[in-house]
Amino acid sequence: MCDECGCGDVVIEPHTHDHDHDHGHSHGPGHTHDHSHGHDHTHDHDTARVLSVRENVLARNTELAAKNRMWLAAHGVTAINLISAPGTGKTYLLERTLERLQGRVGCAVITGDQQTDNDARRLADKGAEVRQIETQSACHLEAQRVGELFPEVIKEDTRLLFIENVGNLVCPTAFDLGEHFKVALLSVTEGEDKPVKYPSLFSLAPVAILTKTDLLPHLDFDMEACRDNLRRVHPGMFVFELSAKTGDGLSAWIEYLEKLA
Amino acid sequence: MHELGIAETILQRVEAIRVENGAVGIAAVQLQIGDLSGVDVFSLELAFGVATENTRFADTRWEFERIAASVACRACGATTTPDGPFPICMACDSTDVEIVAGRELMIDTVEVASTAD
Repeated sequence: MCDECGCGDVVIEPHTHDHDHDHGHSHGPGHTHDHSHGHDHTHDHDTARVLSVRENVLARNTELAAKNRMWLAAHGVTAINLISAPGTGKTYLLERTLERLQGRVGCAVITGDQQTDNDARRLADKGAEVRQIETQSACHLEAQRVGELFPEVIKEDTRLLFIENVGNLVCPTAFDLGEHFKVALLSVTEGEDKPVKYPSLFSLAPVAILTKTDLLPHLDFDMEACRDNLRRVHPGMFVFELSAKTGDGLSAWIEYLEKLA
Repeated sequence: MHELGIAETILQRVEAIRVENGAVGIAAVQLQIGDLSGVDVFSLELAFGVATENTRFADTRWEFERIAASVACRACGATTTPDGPFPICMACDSTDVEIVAGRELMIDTVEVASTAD
Protein backbone atom coordinates (compact mmCIF):
# COMPACT_ATOMS: atom_id res chain seq x y z
CA MET A 1 0.00 0.00 0.00
CA CYS A 2 1.21 3.46 -0.80
CA ASP A 3 2.11 5.32 2.38
CA GLU A 4 1.51 8.68 0.77
CA CYS A 5 -2.22 8.48 0.40
CA GLY A 6 -3.30 4.99 1.35
CA CYS A 7 -3.93 3.87 -2.20
CA GLY A 8 -3.02 0.52 -3.59
CA ASP A 9 -3.90 -3.05 -3.12
CA VAL A 10 -4.86 -4.79 0.04
CA VAL A 11 -5.01 -8.38 -1.11
CA ILE A 12 -5.45 -11.11 1.43
CA GLU A 13 -4.48 -14.39 -0.24
CA PRO A 14 -6.07 -17.68 0.77
CA HIS A 15 -3.94 -19.06 3.58
CA THR A 16 -3.63 -21.64 6.30
CA HIS A 17 -3.43 -21.16 10.03
CA ASP A 18 -1.86 -23.78 12.29
CA HIS A 19 -2.52 -23.58 15.97
CA ASP A 20 -0.83 -25.87 18.39
CA HIS A 21 -0.67 -25.41 22.07
CA ASP A 22 -0.07 -27.51 25.12
CA HIS A 23 -1.03 -26.64 28.57
CA GLY A 24 -1.30 -28.31 31.87
CA HIS A 25 -3.67 -27.70 34.67
CA SER A 26 -4.58 -29.23 37.93
CA HIS A 27 -7.89 -30.16 39.47
CA GLY A 28 -7.50 -30.23 43.16
CA PRO A 29 -5.06 -32.11 45.35
CA GLY A 30 -2.86 -34.67 43.70
CA HIS A 31 -4.68 -34.56 40.38
CA THR A 32 -2.73 -33.23 37.44
CA HIS A 33 -2.76 -34.03 33.81
CA ASP A 34 -1.46 -32.61 30.59
CA HIS A 35 -3.25 -32.46 27.39
CA SER A 36 -2.54 -31.02 24.03
CA HIS A 37 -4.67 -30.01 21.17
CA GLY A 38 -3.98 -28.70 17.78
CA HIS A 39 -6.00 -27.85 14.72
CA ASP A 40 -5.48 -26.76 11.18
CA HIS A 41 -7.85 -24.76 9.12
CA THR A 42 -7.83 -23.25 5.69
CA HIS A 43 -10.04 -20.49 4.45
CA ASP A 44 -10.40 -18.06 1.59
CA HIS A 45 -10.90 -14.39 2.13
CA ASP A 46 -12.58 -12.38 -0.57
CA THR A 47 -9.87 -10.32 -2.11
CA ALA A 48 -10.68 -6.74 -1.39
CA ARG A 49 -8.84 -3.77 -2.76
CA VAL A 50 -9.37 -0.24 -1.64
CA LEU A 51 -8.67 2.13 -4.51
CA SER A 52 -8.01 5.76 -3.86
CA VAL A 53 -10.05 7.57 -6.49
CA ARG A 54 -10.09 11.18 -5.24
CA GLU A 55 -12.21 12.29 -8.14
CA ASN A 56 -14.68 15.10 -8.38
CA VAL A 57 -18.10 13.62 -9.20
CA LEU A 58 -18.76 16.43 -11.66
CA ALA A 59 -15.27 16.18 -13.19
CA ARG A 60 -16.62 15.12 -16.60
CA ASN A 61 -19.02 18.08 -16.72
CA THR A 62 -16.26 20.44 -15.58
CA GLU A 63 -13.96 19.15 -18.33
CA LEU A 64 -16.61 19.69 -20.99
CA ALA A 65 -17.38 23.13 -19.57
CA ALA A 66 -13.70 24.03 -19.96
CA LYS A 67 -13.88 22.94 -23.61
CA ASN A 68 -17.01 25.07 -24.09
CA ARG A 69 -15.20 28.04 -22.59
CA MET A 70 -12.29 27.63 -25.00
CA TRP A 71 -14.63 27.28 -27.96
CA LEU A 72 -16.46 30.47 -26.98
CA ALA A 73 -13.21 32.37 -26.51
CA ALA A 74 -11.98 31.24 -29.94
CA HIS A 75 -15.21 32.55 -31.49
CA GLY A 76 -15.24 35.83 -29.54
CA VAL A 77 -18.54 35.09 -27.80
CA THR A 78 -19.50 36.09 -24.25
CA ALA A 79 -21.89 33.59 -22.66
CA ILE A 80 -24.25 34.39 -19.80
CA ASN A 81 -25.99 31.67 -17.79
CA LEU A 82 -29.36 33.00 -16.58
CA ILE A 83 -30.62 31.19 -13.48
CA SER A 84 -33.75 31.73 -11.39
CA ALA A 85 -36.79 30.04 -9.96
CA PRO A 86 -39.57 29.26 -12.46
CA GLY A 87 -41.73 32.31 -13.17
CA THR A 88 -39.17 35.00 -12.42
CA GLY A 89 -39.43 36.30 -15.95
CA LYS A 90 -36.26 35.02 -17.63
CA THR A 91 -37.92 34.42 -20.98
CA TYR A 92 -39.86 37.68 -20.93
CA LEU A 93 -36.70 39.64 -20.13
CA LEU A 94 -34.90 37.81 -22.95
CA GLU A 95 -37.69 38.67 -25.40
CA ARG A 96 -37.34 42.38 -24.60
CA THR A 97 -33.53 42.13 -24.53
CA LEU A 98 -33.32 40.51 -27.98
CA GLU A 99 -35.68 43.14 -29.40
CA ARG A 100 -33.50 45.93 -28.05
CA LEU A 101 -30.25 44.37 -29.28
CA GLN A 102 -31.58 43.30 -32.67
CA GLY A 103 -29.46 44.78 -35.46
CA ARG A 104 -26.90 46.10 -32.95
CA VAL A 105 -25.38 43.06 -31.24
CA GLY A 106 -25.44 39.52 -32.66
CA CYS A 107 -27.19 37.30 -30.13
CA ALA A 108 -27.89 33.60 -29.70
CA VAL A 109 -30.01 31.76 -27.15
CA ILE A 110 -29.99 28.25 -25.75
CA THR A 111 -32.99 27.73 -23.52
CA GLY A 112 -33.67 24.79 -21.24
CA ASP A 113 -36.93 23.41 -19.90
CA GLN A 114 -38.02 19.97 -18.82
CA GLN A 115 -40.69 19.86 -21.53
CA THR A 116 -41.99 21.86 -24.52
CA ASP A 117 -40.33 24.28 -26.90
CA ASN A 118 -42.64 27.11 -25.82
CA ASP A 119 -39.72 29.33 -24.83
CA ALA A 120 -37.90 28.86 -28.13
CA ARG A 121 -41.08 29.83 -29.96
CA ARG A 122 -41.48 32.95 -27.81
CA LEU A 123 -37.89 33.94 -28.57
CA ALA A 124 -38.03 33.24 -32.31
CA ASP A 125 -38.05 36.00 -34.94
CA LYS A 126 -36.10 38.46 -32.83
CA GLY A 127 -32.91 38.29 -34.85
CA ALA A 128 -31.23 35.64 -32.71
CA GLU A 129 -30.57 31.96 -33.32
CA VAL A 130 -32.54 30.05 -30.68
CA ARG A 131 -32.38 26.39 -29.69
CA GLN A 132 -34.42 24.62 -27.05
CA ILE A 133 -33.08 21.82 -24.87
CA GLU A 134 -35.77 19.64 -23.32
CA THR A 135 -34.07 18.11 -20.30
CA GLN A 136 -36.90 15.64 -19.56
CA SER A 137 -36.41 14.69 -15.92
CA ALA A 138 -33.27 16.73 -15.34
CA CYS A 139 -33.58 19.92 -13.32
CA HIS A 140 -30.58 21.68 -14.86
CA LEU A 141 -28.58 22.05 -18.07
CA GLU A 142 -25.25 20.25 -18.43
CA ALA A 143 -22.14 21.29 -20.34
CA GLN A 144 -22.31 18.52 -22.95
CA ARG A 145 -25.73 19.26 -24.44
CA VAL A 146 -25.15 23.00 -24.33
CA GLY A 147 -21.77 22.70 -26.06
CA GLU A 148 -23.19 20.47 -28.79
CA LEU A 149 -25.48 23.32 -29.82
CA PHE A 150 -22.78 26.00 -30.09
CA PRO A 151 -22.01 25.39 -33.79
CA GLU A 152 -25.74 25.59 -34.60
CA VAL A 153 -26.56 28.83 -32.79
CA ILE A 154 -23.34 30.77 -33.05
CA LYS A 155 -22.79 32.56 -36.35
CA GLU A 156 -19.96 34.70 -37.63
CA ASP A 157 -21.34 37.89 -36.05
CA THR A 158 -22.62 36.40 -32.76
CA ARG A 159 -21.17 38.21 -29.76
CA LEU A 160 -23.55 37.31 -26.93
CA LEU A 161 -24.92 33.90 -26.00
CA PHE A 162 -27.72 33.76 -23.47
CA ILE A 163 -28.16 30.39 -21.82
CA GLU A 164 -31.55 30.33 -20.13
CA ASN A 165 -31.30 27.55 -17.59
CA VAL A 166 -34.14 25.34 -16.36
CA GLY A 167 -36.23 27.29 -13.84
CA ASN A 168 -34.67 26.16 -10.59
CA LEU A 169 -32.83 28.10 -7.94
CA VAL A 170 -30.68 25.24 -6.67
CA CYS A 171 -29.48 22.57 -9.10
CA PRO A 172 -28.25 24.61 -12.10
CA THR A 173 -25.77 26.27 -9.76
CA ALA A 174 -23.73 23.07 -9.45
CA PHE A 175 -23.17 22.61 -13.20
CA ASP A 176 -20.62 24.78 -14.96
CA LEU A 177 -21.62 25.20 -18.61
CA GLY A 178 -18.51 27.06 -19.70
CA GLU A 179 -20.30 30.39 -19.44
CA HIS A 180 -18.38 33.54 -18.57
CA PHE A 181 -20.62 34.22 -15.61
CA LYS A 182 -23.98 33.47 -14.06
CA VAL A 183 -26.77 36.00 -13.64
CA ALA A 184 -29.23 35.37 -10.83
CA LEU A 185 -32.77 36.66 -11.38
CA LEU A 186 -35.19 37.31 -8.56
CA SER A 187 -38.66 38.77 -9.00
CA VAL A 188 -40.02 41.15 -6.41
CA THR A 189 -42.99 38.84 -5.88
CA GLU A 190 -40.68 36.20 -4.44
CA GLY A 191 -39.69 37.85 -1.18
CA GLU A 192 -36.60 39.78 -0.22
CA ASP A 193 -35.08 36.91 1.74
CA LYS A 194 -34.52 34.58 -1.23
CA PRO A 195 -30.79 35.39 -1.44
CA VAL A 196 -30.25 34.18 2.12
CA LYS A 197 -32.58 31.21 1.69
CA TYR A 198 -30.77 30.02 -1.45
CA PRO A 199 -27.25 31.35 -0.99
CA SER A 200 -25.52 28.94 -3.36
CA LEU A 201 -26.70 30.69 -6.52
CA PHE A 202 -26.41 34.22 -5.18
CA SER A 203 -22.91 33.64 -3.84
CA LEU A 204 -21.70 32.41 -7.26
CA ALA A 205 -23.42 34.89 -9.59
CA PRO A 206 -21.64 38.26 -9.83
CA VAL A 207 -24.80 39.88 -11.21
CA ALA A 208 -28.38 39.89 -9.92
CA ILE A 209 -31.48 41.21 -11.67
CA LEU A 210 -34.53 42.13 -9.61
CA THR A 211 -37.44 41.73 -12.03
CA LYS A 212 -41.10 42.78 -12.18
CA THR A 213 -40.45 46.08 -10.38
CA ASP A 214 -43.69 47.42 -11.94
CA LEU A 215 -45.49 45.34 -9.30
CA LEU A 216 -43.79 47.07 -6.35
CA PRO A 217 -46.74 49.42 -5.59
CA HIS A 218 -48.90 46.34 -4.96
CA LEU A 219 -46.42 44.51 -2.73
CA ASP A 220 -44.72 44.90 0.63
CA PHE A 221 -41.37 44.07 -0.94
CA ASP A 222 -38.53 45.82 0.91
CA MET A 223 -35.96 46.64 -1.79
CA GLU A 224 -33.33 47.83 0.68
CA ALA A 225 -33.63 44.62 2.75
CA CYS A 226 -33.29 42.59 -0.44
CA ARG A 227 -30.15 44.45 -1.45
CA ASP A 228 -28.78 43.94 2.09
CA ASN A 229 -29.43 40.22 1.77
CA LEU A 230 -27.67 40.11 -1.59
CA ARG A 231 -24.67 41.90 -0.08
CA ARG A 232 -24.60 39.47 2.84
CA VAL A 233 -24.34 36.53 0.52
CA HIS A 234 -22.22 38.23 -2.14
CA PRO A 235 -20.40 41.45 -1.26
CA GLY A 236 -19.90 43.65 -4.31
CA MET A 237 -22.67 41.98 -6.31
CA PHE A 238 -23.82 44.06 -9.27
CA VAL A 239 -27.61 44.56 -9.04
CA PHE A 240 -30.10 45.67 -11.71
CA GLU A 241 -33.69 46.60 -10.90
CA LEU A 242 -36.01 46.51 -13.87
CA SER A 243 -39.41 45.84 -15.31
CA ALA A 244 -39.27 44.12 -18.68
CA LYS A 245 -42.96 44.95 -19.05
CA THR A 246 -42.77 48.75 -18.66
CA GLY A 247 -39.15 49.04 -19.73
CA ASP A 248 -38.15 50.79 -16.48
CA GLY A 249 -34.50 50.09 -15.75
CA LEU A 250 -34.10 48.06 -18.92
CA SER A 251 -31.71 50.52 -20.55
CA ALA A 252 -29.03 50.01 -17.87
CA TRP A 253 -29.16 46.24 -18.53
CA ILE A 254 -28.97 46.74 -22.31
CA GLU A 255 -26.03 49.15 -22.00
CA TYR A 256 -24.27 46.67 -19.77
CA LEU A 257 -24.73 43.92 -22.37
CA GLU A 258 -23.52 46.17 -25.18
CA LYS A 259 -20.31 46.75 -23.24
CA LEU A 260 -19.81 43.00 -22.85
CA ALA A 261 -20.28 42.34 -26.55
CA MET B 1 -33.23 17.94 -5.88
CA HIS B 2 -30.75 16.58 -8.42
CA GLU B 3 -29.43 13.91 -6.06
CA LEU B 4 -30.78 11.10 -8.26
CA GLY B 5 -28.82 12.46 -11.22
CA ILE B 6 -25.73 12.78 -9.02
CA ALA B 7 -26.21 9.18 -7.80
CA GLU B 8 -26.47 7.97 -11.40
CA THR B 9 -23.33 9.87 -12.38
CA ILE B 10 -21.46 8.30 -9.45
CA LEU B 11 -22.78 4.84 -10.34
CA GLN B 12 -21.56 5.20 -13.94
CA ARG B 13 -18.10 6.16 -12.71
CA VAL B 14 -18.04 3.36 -10.12
CA GLU B 15 -19.10 0.83 -12.77
CA ALA B 16 -16.24 2.03 -14.99
CA ILE B 17 -13.81 1.59 -12.08
CA ARG B 18 -15.19 -1.92 -11.46
CA VAL B 19 -14.64 -2.90 -15.10
CA GLU B 20 -11.15 -1.33 -15.24
CA ASN B 21 -10.17 -3.42 -12.24
CA GLY B 22 -11.81 -6.65 -13.39
CA ALA B 23 -13.80 -6.85 -10.18
CA VAL B 24 -17.04 -8.76 -9.77
CA GLY B 25 -18.51 -6.22 -7.42
CA ILE B 26 -18.00 -3.12 -5.38
CA ALA B 27 -18.08 -3.61 -1.63
CA ALA B 28 -18.02 0.02 -0.60
CA VAL B 29 -17.70 3.53 -1.92
CA GLN B 30 -16.64 6.43 0.24
CA LEU B 31 -17.85 9.85 -0.81
CA GLN B 32 -16.93 13.28 0.46
CA ILE B 33 -19.78 15.75 0.52
CA GLY B 34 -19.09 19.37 1.39
CA ASP B 35 -21.62 21.28 3.46
CA LEU B 36 -21.76 23.91 0.67
CA SER B 37 -21.95 21.40 -2.20
CA GLY B 38 -25.70 21.78 -2.53
CA VAL B 39 -26.08 18.02 -2.12
CA ASP B 40 -28.21 16.67 0.68
CA VAL B 41 -26.69 13.49 2.11
CA PHE B 42 -30.04 12.06 3.17
CA SER B 43 -31.51 12.54 -0.33
CA LEU B 44 -28.38 11.08 -1.90
CA GLU B 45 -28.63 7.98 0.30
CA LEU B 46 -32.25 7.55 -0.76
CA ALA B 47 -31.24 8.05 -4.39
CA PHE B 48 -28.63 5.27 -4.16
CA GLY B 49 -31.28 2.98 -2.76
CA VAL B 50 -33.53 3.64 -5.75
CA ALA B 51 -30.81 3.68 -8.41
CA THR B 52 -29.11 0.44 -7.29
CA GLU B 53 -32.23 -1.67 -6.82
CA ASN B 54 -31.85 -4.99 -8.67
CA THR B 55 -28.37 -4.04 -9.89
CA ARG B 56 -24.95 -5.43 -9.00
CA PHE B 57 -24.60 -2.45 -6.65
CA ALA B 58 -27.60 -3.37 -4.53
CA ASP B 59 -25.34 -4.48 -1.65
CA THR B 60 -22.68 -1.82 -2.06
CA ARG B 61 -22.07 0.22 1.09
CA TRP B 62 -22.26 3.97 0.50
CA GLU B 63 -20.29 5.89 3.07
CA PHE B 64 -20.56 9.64 3.37
CA GLU B 65 -17.96 11.90 4.85
CA ARG B 66 -19.24 15.41 5.44
CA ILE B 67 -16.72 18.20 4.83
CA ALA B 68 -17.32 21.31 6.88
CA ALA B 69 -17.23 24.70 5.19
CA SER B 70 -14.06 26.68 5.66
CA VAL B 71 -13.52 30.29 4.63
CA ALA B 72 -10.31 32.33 4.37
CA CYS B 73 -10.83 35.99 5.26
CA ARG B 74 -9.33 38.66 3.03
CA ALA B 75 -9.83 41.26 5.77
CA CYS B 76 -8.15 39.64 8.80
CA GLY B 77 -6.50 36.58 7.29
CA ALA B 78 -8.19 34.05 9.59
CA THR B 79 -9.50 30.74 8.27
CA THR B 80 -12.70 29.80 10.08
CA THR B 81 -15.75 27.57 9.80
CA PRO B 82 -18.96 29.60 9.48
CA ASP B 83 -21.74 28.51 11.83
CA GLY B 84 -24.42 28.90 9.16
CA PRO B 85 -24.82 28.65 5.40
CA PHE B 86 -23.23 32.05 4.73
CA PRO B 87 -19.60 32.60 3.89
CA ILE B 88 -18.75 34.87 6.82
CA CYS B 89 -15.46 35.15 8.76
CA MET B 90 -16.12 34.01 12.32
CA ALA B 91 -13.12 36.00 13.57
CA CYS B 92 -14.04 39.48 12.32
CA ASP B 93 -17.53 39.10 10.75
CA SER B 94 -16.25 40.18 7.34
CA THR B 95 -18.06 38.78 4.32
CA ASP B 96 -15.01 39.34 2.12
CA VAL B 97 -13.95 35.71 2.28
CA GLU B 98 -12.94 32.95 -0.05
CA ILE B 99 -14.49 29.52 0.37
CA VAL B 100 -11.56 27.11 0.76
CA ALA B 101 -13.50 23.97 1.73
CA GLY B 102 -17.07 22.77 1.76
CA ARG B 103 -17.90 22.58 -1.95
CA GLU B 104 -16.55 19.01 -2.29
CA LEU B 105 -18.50 16.36 -4.14
CA MET B 106 -15.86 13.65 -4.43
CA ILE B 107 -15.51 9.93 -4.85
CA ASP B 108 -12.78 9.33 -2.26
CA THR B 109 -12.19 5.57 -2.25
CA VAL B 110 -13.75 2.54 -3.91
CA GLU B 111 -13.41 -0.91 -2.39
CA VAL B 112 -13.54 -3.45 -5.21
CA ALA B 113 -14.33 -7.05 -4.36
CA SER B 114 -13.67 -10.24 -6.25
CA THR B 115 -14.03 -13.74 -4.86
CA ALA B 116 -10.75 -15.61 -4.88
CA ASP B 117 -12.11 -19.05 -5.70
